[in-house]
Amino acid sequence: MTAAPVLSVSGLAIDYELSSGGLFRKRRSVSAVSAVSFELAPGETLGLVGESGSGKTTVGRAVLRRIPAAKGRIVFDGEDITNLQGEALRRLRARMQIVLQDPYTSLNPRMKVSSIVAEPLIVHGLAASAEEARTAVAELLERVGLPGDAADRYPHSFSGGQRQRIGIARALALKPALIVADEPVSALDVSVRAQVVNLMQDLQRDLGISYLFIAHDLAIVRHISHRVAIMYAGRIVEIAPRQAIYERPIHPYTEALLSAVPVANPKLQRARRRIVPPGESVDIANPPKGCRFHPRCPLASNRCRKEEPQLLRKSGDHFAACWNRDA
Amino acid sequence: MAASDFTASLTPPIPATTSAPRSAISELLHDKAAAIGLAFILLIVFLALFAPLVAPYDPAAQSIMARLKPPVWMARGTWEHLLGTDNLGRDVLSRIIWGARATLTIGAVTCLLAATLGTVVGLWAGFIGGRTDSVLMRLVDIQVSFPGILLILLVVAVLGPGVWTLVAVLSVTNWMVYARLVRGIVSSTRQTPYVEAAEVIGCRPARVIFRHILPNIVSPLLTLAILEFTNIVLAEAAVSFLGFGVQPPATSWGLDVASGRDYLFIAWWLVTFPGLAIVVTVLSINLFANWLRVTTDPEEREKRFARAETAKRRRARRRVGA
Amino acid sequence: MTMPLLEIDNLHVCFDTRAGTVQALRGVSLSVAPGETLGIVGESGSGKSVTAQAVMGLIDVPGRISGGEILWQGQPLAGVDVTRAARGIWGREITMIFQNPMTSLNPLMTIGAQIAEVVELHMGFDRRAARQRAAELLSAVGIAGAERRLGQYPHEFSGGMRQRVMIAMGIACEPKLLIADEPTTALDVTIQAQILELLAELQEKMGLAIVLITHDLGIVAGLCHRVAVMYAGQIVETGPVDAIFENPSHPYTQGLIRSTPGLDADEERLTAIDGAPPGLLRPPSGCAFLPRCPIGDEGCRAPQRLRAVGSGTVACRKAGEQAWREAV
Repeated sequence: MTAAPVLSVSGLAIDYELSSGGLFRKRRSVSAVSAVSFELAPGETLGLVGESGSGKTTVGRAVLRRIPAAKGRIVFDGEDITNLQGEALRRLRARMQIVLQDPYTSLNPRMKVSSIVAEPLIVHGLAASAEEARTAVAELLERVGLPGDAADRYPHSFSGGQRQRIGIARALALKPALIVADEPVSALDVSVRAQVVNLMQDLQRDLGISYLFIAHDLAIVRHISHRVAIMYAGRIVEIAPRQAIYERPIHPYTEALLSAVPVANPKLQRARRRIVPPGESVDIANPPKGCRFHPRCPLASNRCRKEEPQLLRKSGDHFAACWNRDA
Repeated sequence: MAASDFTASLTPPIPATTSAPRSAISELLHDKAAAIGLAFILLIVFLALFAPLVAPYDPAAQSIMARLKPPVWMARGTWEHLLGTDNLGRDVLSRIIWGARATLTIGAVTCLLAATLGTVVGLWAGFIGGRTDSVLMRLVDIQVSFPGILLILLVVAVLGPGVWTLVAVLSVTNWMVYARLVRGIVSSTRQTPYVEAAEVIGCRPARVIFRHILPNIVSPLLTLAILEFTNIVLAEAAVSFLGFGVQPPATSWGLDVASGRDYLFIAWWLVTFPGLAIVVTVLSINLFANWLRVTTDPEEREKRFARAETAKRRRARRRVGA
Repeated sequence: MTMPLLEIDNLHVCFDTRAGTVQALRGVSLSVAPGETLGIVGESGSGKSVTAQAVMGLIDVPGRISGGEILWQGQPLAGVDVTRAARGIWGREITMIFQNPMTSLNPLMTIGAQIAEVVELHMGFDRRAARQRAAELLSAVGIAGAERRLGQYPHEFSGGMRQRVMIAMGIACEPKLLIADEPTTALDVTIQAQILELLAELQEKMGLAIVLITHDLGIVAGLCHRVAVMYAGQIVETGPVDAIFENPSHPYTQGLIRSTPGLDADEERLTAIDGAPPGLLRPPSGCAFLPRCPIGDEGCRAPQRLRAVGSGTVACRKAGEQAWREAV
């Protein structure tokens, strides 16, 4: 990673509004995410993994400037975009895009595929004529592997996997440098999932796009990511190149997560030692003191109960936030 | 998962065909009540539009010779006045036909004004959200809790009675229901992923609203407006009955009921026919609106279809059994 | 072999839609033996959930059973004309837990009252005994402080805890068969592991038969004895779990296993099955997988019936051939 990062997030904190402040109510908010820092190189995929409530989606939305950051800085392509507003923010949209989870609700059912895919070009004034837009749409649809007649049809006549391809074509229209993919394959069937993952990898290889790949499926993440960040209760607890994460996990939570994933191999699955952490994920409105994982952690010591561990370099590119473990 | 997931995986094969209107008509014909309702609505609209050509007499023309004639099928009835005449010898049928004009105009204009006002407020509240939303919706609450009839009487007392005063006042007392509906749909549509995608693409708010949000509002709004129309017809009748609405020599159904009530015991037809016109119109609209509501909701439409199929199959089986 | 608990024989289920009749199940035959765990694997629309609904008598307008029948311990339970008002079977001998524990509980009743209701209804316990039993059940599914939690409402429970409550209600009457429809799909991985462990433990203790419906091959691998793979409303392969995973015979099963990425593999490219499942409005009469199958040919246009191959059954004339090349 010698090239300048496409995206650099430092000390990001995001508050989540419990009530949005009505006529007579005060705003109430809790800290959903804090002290999140990472970098993303051009053409790299960073997998952002966590369970529900871990804040992974929130981080993705903050990077896209959909929700405001309470603290920290987001630098995109050398430009601080943390407080971008109005027209400047709208122009930024051209360079970072999103692929959403649910292929059934992420496409406007009343618009033809051609209008859906051409919309980014139109709103950014990138298509001079209808003819030009049509050509661009045809190219994009071909690029994502959809038949030529797709343009004139409505989303409902496509299967889930095809719809996700349409969503990807829409995101590609503006030739973005970064795509935030929020669980892009988790709503798809297993046999179709692989198609979409392969497509995303092809596009990255050909166009040099960076992905922030948000998911809860560790197997898919291992497959597509170059580096992986594990989140727990609003913190990054471990971040490392994928091989290190999967083969030499440092944080006890990462270890538990990996062991809990069911493997599609009966003999292996029966033989595996499973570390099932007791209890449930943290209620972010009332987080425990100290390390947020300590109530479920087999290694928890007194220090863990009092002081929150920082994300520290344990070896090479391997960072983890744990008092008791080193590489 | 089951059912919904299922329909999701099944919807694809349905082509967006051009025969949609034809299938809607055949569905309407299957629902007898709604079809009759629509036929009656069309009849009333036709009569109102062509009142000068259709009505046998000038509704204001008095005739001392033909006072209080009963309808044609009664002992003293004549073919000249099918539904009889009133105390001034005016033809009741003609008055009903002309009254339809006033009633429908007031209803339509009021609905249009109230729906526009309500939609603007609802869109504003739903799209901006947060504090703006709270303030606007509390305004709606306040307006809803204020007795409508009192407001009408106050305004009429200040501005004087008349058709346009009535329209203005009824619009002001009926927009809230639209605001609530639109605000609800907008704020839920705002959360849908395709709206988020549109915003991330860089669509300006106006484009998001008109391209992505507004189309979702059209059919529920239309259904609501049609249902509300009946409320306006009834309100107009009530206010005219009280003497604050349409003023003679103009006429409306409510006014006719009001002026006929003094003769209730000697000439029942004066109250009955305009009253019947109100009841049947409101009923027809309700029947049709109910059908329309189901038809514009894909899920409800599927259910209705399946129920009809099941009934058909059961009948067929019974026939085989017998 | 003992008599199977549940037998499904050539079951057809249709859904009437405006676009036409959707054939959701097209001749499904299955049996479940006492005490065994059968996994039904398939993608959305494959008919795995519809099968469960048919067994539970939950097929309702617009759906209907259009052929075949379901036998419970040899007695007809549901079919084209019979849908036995089997109160004593549904909810007592066969119970079901659903994917979404959030919507399956009544938000206005305490957890204790909801469990006790099941026990009172089906087992004829009086109120005090039912309450006692409810507390036992909560501890049995691993909820600590059972006495206190009985008085709480569903919103005071987390997703995983609610699924435990659902399981408690599912086993309250000591059923012979528990149908679990995607029981852990809505849950986090670590919670999923807990629930699966609980199910395995209960099965061992109670000798319960479980039908586990899922799309996740990993869950099947860990929990099931036998597997049935469904595709486009039909069963394409059944067999013991080890055989299915080690030596899948049907090209679809092979593809499904190949396209599931492992945790340990570093392969650069996943094997993908091209295309998508067929629509069920006008399903093909031959093999439904043919358009996506790398080794299919003209002969596959004829209907494929399940036939015994090795230790299982397969509906493919080329059963056993390797459909997919080794990953590159």
